[in-house]
Amino acid sequence: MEKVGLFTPIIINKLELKNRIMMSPAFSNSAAPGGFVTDWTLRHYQKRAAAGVGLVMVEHTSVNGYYIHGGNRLQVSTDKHIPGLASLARTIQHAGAKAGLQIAHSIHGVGLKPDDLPKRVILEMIQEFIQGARRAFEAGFDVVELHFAHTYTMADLLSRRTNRRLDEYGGDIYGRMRAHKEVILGIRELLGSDVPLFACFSADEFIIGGNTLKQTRIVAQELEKCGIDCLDVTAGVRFDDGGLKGYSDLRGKPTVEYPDGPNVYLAEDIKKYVSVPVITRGKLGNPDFAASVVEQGRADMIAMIRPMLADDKWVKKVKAGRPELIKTCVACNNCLYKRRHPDDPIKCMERECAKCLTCLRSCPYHLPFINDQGILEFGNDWCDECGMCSGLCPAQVVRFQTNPQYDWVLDQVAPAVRKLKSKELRAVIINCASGPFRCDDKFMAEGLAHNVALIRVPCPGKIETVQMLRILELGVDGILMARCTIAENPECKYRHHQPWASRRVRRANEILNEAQLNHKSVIEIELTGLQALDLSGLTREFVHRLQVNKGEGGTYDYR
Amino acid sequence: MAKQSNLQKVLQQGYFAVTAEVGPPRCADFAPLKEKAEMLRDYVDAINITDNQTAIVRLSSQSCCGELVRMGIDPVFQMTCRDRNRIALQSDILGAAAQGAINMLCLSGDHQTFGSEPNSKNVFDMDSIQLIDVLAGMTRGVFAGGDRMEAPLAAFIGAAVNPFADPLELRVSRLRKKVKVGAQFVQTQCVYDLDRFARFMEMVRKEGLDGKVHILAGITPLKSAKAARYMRDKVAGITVPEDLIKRMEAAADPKEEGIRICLETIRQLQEIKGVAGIHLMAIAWEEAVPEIVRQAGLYPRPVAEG
Amino acid sequence: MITGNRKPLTQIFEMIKFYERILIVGCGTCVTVCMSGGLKEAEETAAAIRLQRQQEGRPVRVAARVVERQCEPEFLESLDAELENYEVVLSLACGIGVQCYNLWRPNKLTLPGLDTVGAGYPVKQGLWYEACLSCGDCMLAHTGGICPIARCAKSLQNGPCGGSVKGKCEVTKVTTVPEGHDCAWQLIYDRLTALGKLELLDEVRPPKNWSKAHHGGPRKLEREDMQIG
Repeated sequence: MEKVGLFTPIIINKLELKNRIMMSPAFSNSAAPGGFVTDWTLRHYQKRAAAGVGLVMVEHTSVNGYYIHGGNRLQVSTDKHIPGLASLARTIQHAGAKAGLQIAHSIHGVGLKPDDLPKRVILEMIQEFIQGARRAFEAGFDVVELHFAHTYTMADLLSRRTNRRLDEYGGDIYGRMRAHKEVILGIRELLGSDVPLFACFSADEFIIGGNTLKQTRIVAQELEKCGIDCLDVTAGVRFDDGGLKGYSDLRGKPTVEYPDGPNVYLAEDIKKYVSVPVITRGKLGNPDFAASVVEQGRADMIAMIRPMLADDKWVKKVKAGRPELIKTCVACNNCLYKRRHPDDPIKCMERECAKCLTCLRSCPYHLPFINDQGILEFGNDWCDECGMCSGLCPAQVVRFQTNPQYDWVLDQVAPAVRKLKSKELRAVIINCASGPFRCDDKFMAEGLAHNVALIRVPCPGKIETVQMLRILELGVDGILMARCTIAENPECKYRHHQPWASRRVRRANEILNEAQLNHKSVIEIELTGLQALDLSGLTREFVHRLQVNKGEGGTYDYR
Repeated sequence: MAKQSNLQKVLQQGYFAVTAEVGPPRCADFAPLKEKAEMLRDYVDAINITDNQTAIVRLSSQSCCGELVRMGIDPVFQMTCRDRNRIALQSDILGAAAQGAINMLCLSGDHQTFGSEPNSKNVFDMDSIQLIDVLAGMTRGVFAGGDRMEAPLAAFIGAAVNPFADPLELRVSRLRKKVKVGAQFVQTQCVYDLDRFARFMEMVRKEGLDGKVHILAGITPLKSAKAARYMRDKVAGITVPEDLIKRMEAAADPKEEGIRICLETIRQLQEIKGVAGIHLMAIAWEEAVPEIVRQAGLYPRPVAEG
Repeated sequence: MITGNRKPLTQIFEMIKFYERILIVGCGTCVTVCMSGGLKEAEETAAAIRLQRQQEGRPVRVAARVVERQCEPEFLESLDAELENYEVVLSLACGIGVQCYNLWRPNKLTLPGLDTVGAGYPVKQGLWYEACLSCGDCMLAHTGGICPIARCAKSLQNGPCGGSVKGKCEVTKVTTVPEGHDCAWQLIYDRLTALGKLELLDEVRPPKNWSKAHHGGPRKLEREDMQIG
C-alpha cells in the first residue's frame, strides 16, 4: 500500500484535494457591516491559499442575520451575500486551493438557550441552513461545512448538558440530533448527493455534563448515515460555564502548556466508528508531528489556523522541506482574543509587540520570558490572571478581556451613567467587587442614586488612566476610586495593582490639569473594611465637594 | 625674545605673585572697571578680567583687557569655551594680544543654566585643555586648523585647576595634561579647605609639576556667614569647611573675621612648597584687596626687571 | 531608542484649534517602548482633546491609531483609507516620524504631538537617560564605554570640569531633578579604575572633528550597493 503523508492527495465525494492540510475556519472579525466580505477577508484567505493549503475552509458564516454571534461576522443569510462570497471563493480557487464555507447559527449570541427556542425557530433554522448551503454552492464554493460544534445553536442542541427540551428535538442523542439530520437530508434533497458536505462537531465537550466520546461516536455514525462526506472533529469551546477562559474553551485552542495535538486521540477514536475521512485540529503547528498524525492513520487530514497566522507560508515551507524557516506559533492565543481594538481583524499579535519588556519586568510571578526565537512568551500555566502586564503594556498587545468586543467603559459604565437622573452633577464611584465594598445597598435609600453610579470592578487598581478620561467624557464630573486597604486583604489576587491605582489617578489628574479641565477630578481613597461600610457617607461628601468645586469654577482644593 | 608680561616676569624672577579678579560692568561703560582697577593698581601684579562669569552677560573681557593695558595695568584675559567656537576664540586671542593683553587664562566656563541666559545654547567646541593646546600652537605660529599665522603670537598661557572638585586624583591628571599642552601658570579655585589643598600640592610635587608651572592659589575673603553658606551650596566646585562657617557665624564683625581668615590662609599657603603666589577673587568686595595685601606683608609689589 | 515627551496639552490644543477632525497616530517602535507616543498615549491624548472640546462646547472627531514605524512609507499605508476622513494628523512619533508623515502624505498636514528628546536607554522601567548625541565620531573606546559628549553637560573630552562634586554634575545645583545628574567623568573614572585602564585619561584628546556631526551640514547615509531601482 502506498504510504500516505501530508501531501498525499485525497478525494472526498467529488472534491479532489491536493494535500491533507486544511485551513481551519477561524473567525477573522473582518466582515463589513451586514456580514459582507471585505478586501481584508480576501487577502487573509488568498495568502494562505497561495501558500499551498489543500482546502481553505472559510470561517463561521452565519445563515441568519439575527441569530448571530458577536463581532464582525460573515453572513450567508440572503442572496445579496452571494456576490461577495463568490469573489472570495474565486480568489481562493485562483490561488490554487479548494474553497469551503462553514455555515453556522448562534442563539448564544442573543443570549438564548435551546430550551427557550420555539419549535418555529428550529424549523426556520433548518431551512436557513439548507438555503445557506445552496447560496454557498451558488457562490462557487467547492464544499460546505455544517458547524455543529463549539458554542453555537447546533452544538447546544446536540449537547446533553444544554438541550433539556421535551419535544422531538430533545431527549436522547437521536432526538438531540434530529435537527442536524433534517438539515443534511434537506440539503441532499435540494442539491443532490454529489455536493461535498462536511460536518464539524466536538468529540468531547470537556465540560461537566457535556457530551463525551460515548455520545459523539453515535453522532459520528449517524452523520455518516445521513450522507456527510467528511467529519471535522474538534473539541471543547463550550462557553456556558467558563466563557472564553474556561477549560472547555482552552481545549479547543490548546495553549503553550499542552503537548502537540492534544485532541488527535479523539479523531483517532471516531475514525474507528466511521468509514468517511476524519479531520483533526488543535495545536498541530509542529510539522513533524502533523505529518506523523496522517502517516500513522490517526486522522485523514489535519486542520490549523494559528500556525498559519504566525506564518502564512507554513505549508509552503513544510512542503519545501524547510521547516526551520517557519515563524513558529507559540500558541499564546493573543491572535484569537487579545486584539488591540475590538474591530481589529485576526492576526498574529507577536508582530504588534514592541518588545519593550514591560510585561517581563512587571509580572509579579516572573512568567513572561524571551524564548529561543527572541519572541516574548507567557508561561500561561502559572498565570494568575492578575492583569498586571495587560494594564501596563504600552502597545496594548497583552489583553485579558474575555470578549474582544467588550469595552468596559461603553458596556458597563456608560449605561449606568445614562441612567442617572441628575444632569447637573454626575459622579462615578469605582470600587472593589468583593468584601465589605459589597455593602452598598444604602445608596438607593439615601438618595444618592440620583447623582452617583456605582461600578464594581475586580480591583480599582486595574482601571487605566485612559479609561478614567473616557468616563469623564461621558459627562461625568468626578470619579471616586475607592480601594481597599491591602493590609486587610493580603491574599487578594489583585494585590499587585495596589501602587498603580494612585499612580494612574495621579496621571489622570496631571492630564486634567494640563488641559485646564479643573472642574473635573479623579480622587482615590483607601478604605479599611469598617470605613467601606460607610461608603455612602463618603460618597455624599465627595458629591458635596464636587458641587462646591463646580460652583467655584474648578478652584476647590480637594485636600 | 618674545614680549613678556609683568606677571610673567614677576613669576619667572621668583617673586611671590599677587593677582586679583575684577568682573566687568553690565553696561557699555568702562568707568566702573577703571575705578576698581585704579584702586588695585599698586597692590597686584596683574588683574584678571572675567569672561561673563557664572554665565551672566557682562562687558566683553577682551575690550576690558585692552582698556587696562591703556591704563598701564597688566591684565589676565580670561576665556571660556562655553560661548565661542574655535574661530571666535582664536580671533579674540588675536584681538586681546594686539591690544597688549598677553596673559591668557583658558577655562571651560560655568554652565549657562546658572546664569542670566539659561535658555541659551552652549558651544563647547573645545574644552579648556584643547584651548590651551590651540593657544600654544599659536605661539608657534600655527592656527588650530593648521594654517600658518602671519606672525607668531606672544602669550603667557594660564589655566585653572580646582583641587576641591572630585575625583581628586583626576585633578592632578588634568593639571598634568594642561602643563603637557603648554600651560605656564595656573590659578586655583578658592582655597578654604587647606588640608585638601595641601594633599593636592603634595601629589603635584610628587610629579614635579610645581617646577614646570607657576601655581597661584585662589583666595576669596568671606564677607558674612550667609556668603559662606552660599559659596558652599550654590557655587559649583567650592567646598567650605563647617568650622569656617561656624567662625563666621560666631564673629562680632564678620567682615573683619573674613579678612582674618584670609590672612591666615595666605600665611599657610606661603609655607606650602610649590605655591608661587595668590589670586584674590574678592567678588563684589574689591576694596578689601589692598588691605589684605598690605596686612599680608605683600606690599609694595616688586618691580620686575626686563 | 529615540525618546521623547508628549507636548504639553495646552500646546497641542493651540495647534489643533482650527480643526474638527483629527487623527492621532502613535508610532509602534521607539516611542511606544519609552511610553510617550504609543497607542496608549495616543488614546489618552484623544480623550483629553475630546474633554477639552466638550468644555468649550465645540465639536471634534478624534481617533487614536498606531503604525509600526512612521519613518517607513510602507507602514503608513494601513491608515490611508481612514486618513481621508480627517483634516489633520497629530503624530506622536519622534521628529523623524512627523517629517516622514508630511513627506509621504503631502496632502495632509501632520502636526507634532511629541517633543523628541534624543537617543537614550531605559535605566530601569520608567526612567530613560540620554546616551548618544550622534556626533559621528565615536570616542567610547577612550572613555570606558561612557560617552562624555552626551552625558557631560559641557561635552568635555579631557576630563571633568571644576564643577564635579561627589560624583554629581554642577548643573545638578540648578535642576529640579532631586537625585541630579551623575558626572560623566566620575563614571568614566570609576569604570576605567575598575578596568585598570586609567592611563587612557592621560592621553590628550585633540580638538574634536565636529564636521562629522550635524555641524558639517545635514548628514546623509548611503549604501549604493543596497539601493533598489
